[in-house]
This record gives sequence, C-alpha cells and structure tokens, in this order.
Amino acid sequence: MSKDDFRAVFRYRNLTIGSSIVLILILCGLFAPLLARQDPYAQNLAITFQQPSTTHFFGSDQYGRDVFARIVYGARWALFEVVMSVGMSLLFGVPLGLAAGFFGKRLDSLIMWSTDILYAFPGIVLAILLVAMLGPSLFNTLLAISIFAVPVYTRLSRNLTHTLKRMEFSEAAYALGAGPWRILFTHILRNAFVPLLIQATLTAGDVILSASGLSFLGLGAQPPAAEWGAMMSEGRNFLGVATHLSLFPGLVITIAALGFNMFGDGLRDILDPKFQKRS
Amino acid sequence: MHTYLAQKLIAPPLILLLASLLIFSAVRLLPGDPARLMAGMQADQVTVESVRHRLGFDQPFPVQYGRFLERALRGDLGQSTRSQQPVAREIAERLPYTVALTTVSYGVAILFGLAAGVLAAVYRGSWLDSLVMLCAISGASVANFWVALMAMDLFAVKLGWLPLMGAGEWRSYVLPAATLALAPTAVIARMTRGSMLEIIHQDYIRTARAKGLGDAKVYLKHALRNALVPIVTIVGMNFAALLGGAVITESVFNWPGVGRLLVDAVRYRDYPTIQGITLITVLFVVVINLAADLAVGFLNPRIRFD
Repeated sequence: MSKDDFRAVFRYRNLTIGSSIVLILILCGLFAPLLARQDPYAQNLAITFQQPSTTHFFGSDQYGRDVFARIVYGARWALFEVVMSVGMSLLFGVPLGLAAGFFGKRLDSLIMWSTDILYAFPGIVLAILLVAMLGPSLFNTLLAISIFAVPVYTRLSRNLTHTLKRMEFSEAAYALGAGPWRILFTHILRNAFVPLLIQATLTAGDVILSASGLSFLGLGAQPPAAEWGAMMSEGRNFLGVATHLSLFPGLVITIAALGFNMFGDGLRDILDPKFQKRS
Repeated sequence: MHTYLAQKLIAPPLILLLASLLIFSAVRLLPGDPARLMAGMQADQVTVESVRHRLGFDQPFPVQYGRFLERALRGDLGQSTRSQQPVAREIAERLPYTVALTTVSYGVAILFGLAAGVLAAVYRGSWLDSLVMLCAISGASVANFWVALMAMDLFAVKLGWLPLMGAGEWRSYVLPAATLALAPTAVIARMTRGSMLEIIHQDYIRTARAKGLGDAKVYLKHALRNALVPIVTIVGMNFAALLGGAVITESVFNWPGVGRLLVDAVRYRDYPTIQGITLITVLFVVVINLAADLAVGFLNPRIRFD
C-alpha cells in the first residue's frame, strides 16, 4: 500500500470502517455454519449460563445454547431485516416521489400531504399500531418499519425529480420525442440513484435498531429465533446473573448500526460534492 | 408575519384530522369483527352487541368516524378492554411521567448537543472535534435499550448507586433520562457543528471580530443565534423520535408512563387504548412541530416575511 493509499483510507475513514463492518456482517451471514461450529438452536441443559470461555466465546444461555453461534447466525436475520425493509420502503416510496415530482400539481399536493401525515407519527408508535393490528411477527414488524420509512424516500425522490426534470438532459430527451415514462426511468431515476443509495444505506442502520427494538419488546421476531433483539429480550431476565446474554447481542446491534451509518456517511462524503467541501 | 402565522396554523389541524382518520380506519380495516376487538376477546356476545351499538359499528363508516371525532374532541377516547377504565383517564394518569421524562431528556440533549456542536465547530479539525463527531455518530447508532440494560446492570445491580426501576425521587430519572437523551444529543451536536461551520465564515462574523468583540460574544451572540434556525427545526422534527424512544426506555425501566401503557395495551390487544395513545402522541408531535416552526419564524425574519 502506497502513502497515497494510506492517505485515502484515512481521508475516507467513515467509508473504510463502515464498509468493513458491513462486509463482515455479510460474510458472517453467508458463512455462518463455517464460523460457528455449534448449532444455534441446540439446547443442552447441562451447560446453562456458562460464562464466556474458549469453548463458548460469548458463553451459553438459559437453555445451554451457544451465544456466539446465535450471534453469528443472527447476522442472517439482520441482513434479512435490512433487505426486506429497505426494499419495501424503496418499492413504495420511490414511485410515489417520482410521480409527485414529475407530474406535480394536485398529485404532488396529495402525495406530499400523505407523507406529512405519516411524519406526524413517531416511527416506533406507528410500527406498534400496525403490529398491534396485524399481530406480532417479524414480517409484520418489517412491513411496519418500511411504511414509516416511505415518506423519507418519497420526499427525497420527489425533490430530486423536481430538480432533474428541469435539467438540460431531460429537456433534450423531451425535445427528441421521449415520453414521460422514458424520461422518468432512463434519465431521472438513473441520476437519482446515488442519493437514493446513500439514503438506503443510512436507513439500514435505523432498520436494524428499530427491528431489534421491536423484537426486544416482544413484537418482532419471536423466540427461539436467533435474532439479536429477541435474544436481548430473553437475556434481560437474567441481568446481574448472566449479563453476557444482553451484552453481546446489544453490542453487535450497535456495531452493525454504526457500520451502516458510517458507510452511508462515507458514501455521502465521496459522492455528494456539497458534503465534500464542508467536511 | 400574519400570513406566516396563518400558513403555519392551517396545516396542523388538517394533519391531525387525517391522522385521526388513519388511526380510526386501522381498527376497522382489520379482518374480523371490530366490536369483538374493542370489547376484548373474552367478552360475551351481549357485551359485544352493546359495544357495537354504543360505538356505532352498526352505522355507516362516515357516521362512525364523525361520532369518534366528536367524542375525542370532548375528551372521550373510549374504554380500556383490559382495565375497564376510560382511556382518557388512564392516559391522563400516565402522561405526567412521560412528559417529565421526555422534558428532562430533551433538556439534557439540547444543552449537551449545543455545547458539543459549538465546541466542535470552533475547534474544527482538533482532537475535540474528532471526539465529538465520533460520539455523535456512535450516539446515533447505539441501541438505547442495550445501553439501558448495561447501565442498569452496572449502576443499579452491581454498584447500587441508582434505583433499578420505577419513578420516584430525582435519582430514578438519571438512568432513563440519560439513556433517552443519547440519540437526540448526537443529532443536535452534529447539526449544530454543521450549522456553525457554515456561519462562522460569513462576512458579518468577520466584521464582529474586526470590531474587537471577544470570542464568546462572536460565537454565542452572533454565530449561534443565526445557526439556531436549522437546529430548532431538527429539535422539533426529532421530538417524534424522542417519543418513540420513550416507549422502549419506559418498558426497560418499568417507568409508569404512556409508552409502557402502549406496550402493555399491545400485549393485551387493548385496541381502544392503542388508538387513544396513538392519537395523543400525534397531537403532541404536531403541537411541538408547530412550536418549532413558529420559533424558526421568530428567529429568522426572512422566513416569516418571505
């Protein structure tokens, strides 16, 4: 690695650290059976509440399950939460924002008013309302989390569309006879991709925190799932006796959220010239 | 100024009205019988029928919504299926605890966030700036229920310095308020730093310095006042997130507030209580956002006369 490479790594500290954490999370999810040799769901009542040791890196829980294995397998749950929730928010939010920004007038007012109403609900409260109606399960929790993230994507894509449709390349495409759908999908959406990607990465950290928070309250993933929030929900009953049951899952939730936030920040530093000058 | 006030005052009642329609519809859109849901799963058929008639489920949807709205405006949010108490009374009993906790937390967050943000901007590029930014990005990423459990384990279980759970004397506020303040402090510190950095290179700051004003006066009187506009907006917008955080924090610390009442209501499928709490929460968010909008207009005359 040359001196310049080192400088670049230091300059883009957030991106380097954030992307490394996200990469580790993905690798843990993909290669969980290779990293954790023990079955995350196998109970062994002879070894309950073991403290961290070389046999059980993060100790064992009240059913003698290996906490390290459960945390490694938990990466799959975290990634599933991020992909599902961010994917659903993008799927609902972006088309609404594109339509509002492009077609304007009444449609714009209607869509923006709807997002304003959703903004009036605290995210978790809206999610709890929806989960209460639909029943506690991870899928319903993720659906609820994606609904409260929809206004963020709608607003962002609406503002981007508003700006991009007045740019010369859009006007040139229109002058050459391109229809509205072609301009929307091949010109505007393509140029809005980077800001949307940055927002998606920044939202991923919030998704992990919200989903694990709702699982912690017993409204998301249900035991015996090796989901980090659900693990903490079980572990909180043994505070003081087996603190490691809450310590390690909470630590990885924080590291994962930090990773996505730093990755998003780093991407913004590089790709958004406005932030490049300021930082 | 009057136009600005009028513009800002029109939106909140409309948002409240539409949010109430959304909350009201949520229960009606459920598969199954809404009267059964409102009466509780254990209720007998006679009770279900009486609830159906009392709440007007046998009427058309617009009539039902009109009645719901009329009762809500009179302060009647229905009856809890769990405790059989009026929901409004249950909320009124718990609300002071939530208001006290969120006020203390937000006070702490604003104080520390502003101080940290100003210091980071003034000493830009120094170790202090790096430390504040590191804390800010960590504070926004940390799982507050994890911090709450770890703080309980250390300060209440192991050291015995602070109460483990519940609300009482001032010491019982320390752990829940500190936990709840983490995320907003981080957001406010970041916003203050960014906003101050944009301001301190402006010509009028240079002029203030050239006139011989001291650092404290330049930064606090000239720079911070102008940097406050986006900060006040963020403070208003983050109030919703703070209320959301309070739901989890109250559950962890067994705090007898509205957040814990909501989680308990979900566990017992107590729909009138869930509906009532959501409505009150939205009311709080809308009012705080309106206050923030008006404060922004007060701080920046260009906005109110635009």
